[in-house]
Amino acid sequence: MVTKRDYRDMTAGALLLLLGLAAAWYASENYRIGTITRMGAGLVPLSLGVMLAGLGLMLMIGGWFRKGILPEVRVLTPICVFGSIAVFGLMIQPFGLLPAVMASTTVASLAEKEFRPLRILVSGLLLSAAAWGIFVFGIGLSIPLITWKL
Amino acid sequence: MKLPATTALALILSAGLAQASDFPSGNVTIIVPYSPGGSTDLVSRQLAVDLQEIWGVSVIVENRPGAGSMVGTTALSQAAPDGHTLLVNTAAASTAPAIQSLPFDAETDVTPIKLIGQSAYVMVAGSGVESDTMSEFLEEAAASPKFFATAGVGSSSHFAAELFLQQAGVDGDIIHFSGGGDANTNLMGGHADIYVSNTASVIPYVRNEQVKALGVLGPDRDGLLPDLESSGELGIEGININAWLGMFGPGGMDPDLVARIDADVSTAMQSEGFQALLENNFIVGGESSPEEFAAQYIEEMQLWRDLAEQRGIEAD
Amino acid sequence: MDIFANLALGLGTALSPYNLLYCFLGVFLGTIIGVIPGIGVLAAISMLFPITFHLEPTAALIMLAGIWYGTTYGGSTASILLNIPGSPSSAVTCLDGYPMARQGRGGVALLMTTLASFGGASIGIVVLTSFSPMIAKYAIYISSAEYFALMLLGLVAAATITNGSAVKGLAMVVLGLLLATVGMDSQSGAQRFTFGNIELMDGLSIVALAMGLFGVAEIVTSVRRIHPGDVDPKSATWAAMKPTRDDIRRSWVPLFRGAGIGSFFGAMPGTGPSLSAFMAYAVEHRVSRTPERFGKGAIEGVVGPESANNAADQTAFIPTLSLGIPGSPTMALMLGALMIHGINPGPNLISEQPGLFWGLVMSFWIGNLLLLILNIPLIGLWVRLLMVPYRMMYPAILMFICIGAYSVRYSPFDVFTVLGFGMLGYAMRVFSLPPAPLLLGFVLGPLVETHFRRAMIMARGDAMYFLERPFTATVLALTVAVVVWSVWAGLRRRARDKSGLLDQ
Repeated sequence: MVTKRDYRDMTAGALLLLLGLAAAWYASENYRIGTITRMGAGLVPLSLGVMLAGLGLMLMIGGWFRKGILPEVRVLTPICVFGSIAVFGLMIQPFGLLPAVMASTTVASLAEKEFRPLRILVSGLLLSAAAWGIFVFGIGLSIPLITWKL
Repeated sequence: MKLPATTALALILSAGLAQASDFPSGNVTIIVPYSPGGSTDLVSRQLAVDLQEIWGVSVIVENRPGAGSMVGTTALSQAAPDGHTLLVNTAAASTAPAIQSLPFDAETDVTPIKLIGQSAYVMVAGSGVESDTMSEFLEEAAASPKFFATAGVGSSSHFAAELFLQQAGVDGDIIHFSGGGDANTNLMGGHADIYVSNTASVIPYVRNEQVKALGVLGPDRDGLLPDLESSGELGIEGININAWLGMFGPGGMDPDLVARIDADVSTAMQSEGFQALLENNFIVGGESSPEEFAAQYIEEMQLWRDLAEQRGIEAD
Repeated sequence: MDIFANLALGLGTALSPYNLLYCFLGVFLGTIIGVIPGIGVLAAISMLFPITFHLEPTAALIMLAGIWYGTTYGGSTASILLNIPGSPSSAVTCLDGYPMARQGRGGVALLMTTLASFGGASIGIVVLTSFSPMIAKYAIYISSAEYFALMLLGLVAAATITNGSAVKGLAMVVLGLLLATVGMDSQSGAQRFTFGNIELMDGLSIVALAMGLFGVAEIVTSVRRIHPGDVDPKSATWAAMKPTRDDIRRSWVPLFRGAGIGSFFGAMPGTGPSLSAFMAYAVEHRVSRTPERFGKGAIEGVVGPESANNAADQTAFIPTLSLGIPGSPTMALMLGALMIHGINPGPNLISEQPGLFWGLVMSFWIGNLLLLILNIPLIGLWVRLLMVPYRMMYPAILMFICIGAYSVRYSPFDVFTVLGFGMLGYAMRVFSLPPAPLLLGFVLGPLVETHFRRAMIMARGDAMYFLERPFTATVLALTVAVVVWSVWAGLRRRARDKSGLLDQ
């Protein structure tokens, strides 16, 4: 869909502007700025934050004077893919490799918009076996297959 | 960082069972708070090989570099004090807390176990320095201020250099490099002038005549390096420190367990490989008891805190 | 001549069955480690380090070195096939390698990277053999001012690495630089943007950044969009691996250029294969007559960096072996393997241990030949991966990313870092912000800042210090020229757009 103004770039610019300002503010609040010859820890993050904010502003202004296309934003897929990584991160230490891989595979598979328990179970088991074979048996990482640490 | 309550509870429960008699009950991890390949890493790896034979369990070296050894030390402070997580560090253990704000208490959240070895702090000079001895250097530095290289901000070489500058009353600029190798390289190229560090990180380059040893810090000459002038004999007072390498455990370890590990490490250090490593690096094996080592650690930490305050060294 | 006697001695050492076995073991392990995302060469070498206590020093070093350069060969595979960098130095290979694979030219990309790797490595070895002592002597005279100037040039090149809007490219470089400030400040010890978190004290991991920004974001965009018929089954055959005449014509100059860039940055302490690959990509993009092809499967964008990182792998041994200065932790471990056996690395190593030095150098040739023999047949296997339906592939890719990130230091935090960068990567795709400049800014950021601050201390506050040094002044002038040229080219392009038809 073509829009009168480039809302995509304007939003991106606004976000970068906010991010830059936040970084600049945080750096100036918490770290010594110093001078160019005796720089403190805060000078570089402060200047980078200001630069990022400036570039964000330029992007916003540029977008105002341009026609644009609205990007397609996916909803279900990111939730499943990001969820699958989060589930792995949450489960790997308390429960071990097998439960973490099974759970993350299940969540990831939901992005297909169809739920096939048997296929998920089989692929989860196969992937766990592959993971164990490559990382634990092959490379010798010490990740327990199943554990219970809460 | 505060531990979640459940984790803390689990730690307390498991800690209650940590007795010297049933140690080791599983694999032991030695945290090395530096990248692999450095002198601390090499000593720890040799030690791990020897301890593995004594204990009959796997002794794994785990590198946790970052923040001038404080990333690994933080990890140690959060482990269970059952002897299965240990750490080997240099005098950076006492210098880094002097300037960094840490998520743990450096006095109570780690337990000093064993002084593995001590060496002199050696002052070496690069191609930008004309002097060959410390006495000549004092004159040269008085005429034109020199650049003092360190292995990183808050490292023992940083504080040793600051202490020298203060006690000798000379002017100089501190430049932080990333590690001892980087500092030595910059000395060779003449980008910095002086580097003060433990024997293990300078002797290889001195041996190759890439940098020159000017002297040692301390009241007297070093037994293993008798040709080098000491700062004390040149009338510089108040420098009474040694570089060291020590083993630590998490805070609150059972004294019996500490004694047990101390004894086993002492045995491990008698191995041929370990003795050769010490000799090659001009390190003297540590003899002091865990209590003496703990006292030395606390005392040095105070010394560095005071120095940081006097010279305005702070992490900002 | 003396050199032939040395080479013969080295060849004899390297070809002894015992050393040959460890050479093969090393390159084999290296290839596997390289293909698997996350687990890096440093982790692999530290895990295998205890073995070297029991090996002869020459064999130990040959094996460790084999892992080191073998990883770089394997690293490009995952980049090309899955858009996940197998190792940081092959992150840049994603940019054009993955589009090639999606166009059914994965086999060509893999074959060309293997050949480029071999070519780059060979040139690196020649440099290492002939100029080692000389380069080592000059390398130590490069000070922070020169490093700063070079890195600044790289940064300016980074901003123009993509074809889209210059503002977006610059904004992403700055974001990359900002992300690189996370962690302990190397000059004051202050904890920047760590919010009291110890996992952040050592900074954000480049592995997590690259895997999230490229790999995870790619999955989010591709699920349910890539269908079994998308990649032509013919592209998985041996015949499809054959590069076209055009591919070869385009590749050989970037190969040499890449090898030159790689040899240079590899030999300098503190820079290495990753930086070399990025620089080579930036240079190829800049000198190309058709920069618009980059990012869409330009063969030069694959060959240049892969040649560069392999050349750098070899020349990284120059300061290590001829001065005893390790340029990276991995090289420090190699020196450690020597010291454990009572060998003191330094300027006298070559004369005191000729068997070891020349044996190692000759083992590089043999190892690279082995890698060629090992990798070319594997390509046939790898491209078949593209035939696997994507709905079965992507959970597996995600699992590899997760375990890969976790395994670096057994930290769930690193998995969440990947997650965070995955989200950022997807958001950037939605807003059409280019990821490559961000990655480059992230790699160069700490170097630029640290060297600038060191140089300012060395200059005792005198800004003229930079201009008084001939090399620094030249590079800085070059940087200014690149900026001026970019601005001018941009204005001219805009003028042309206005006069001609709009491209939308």
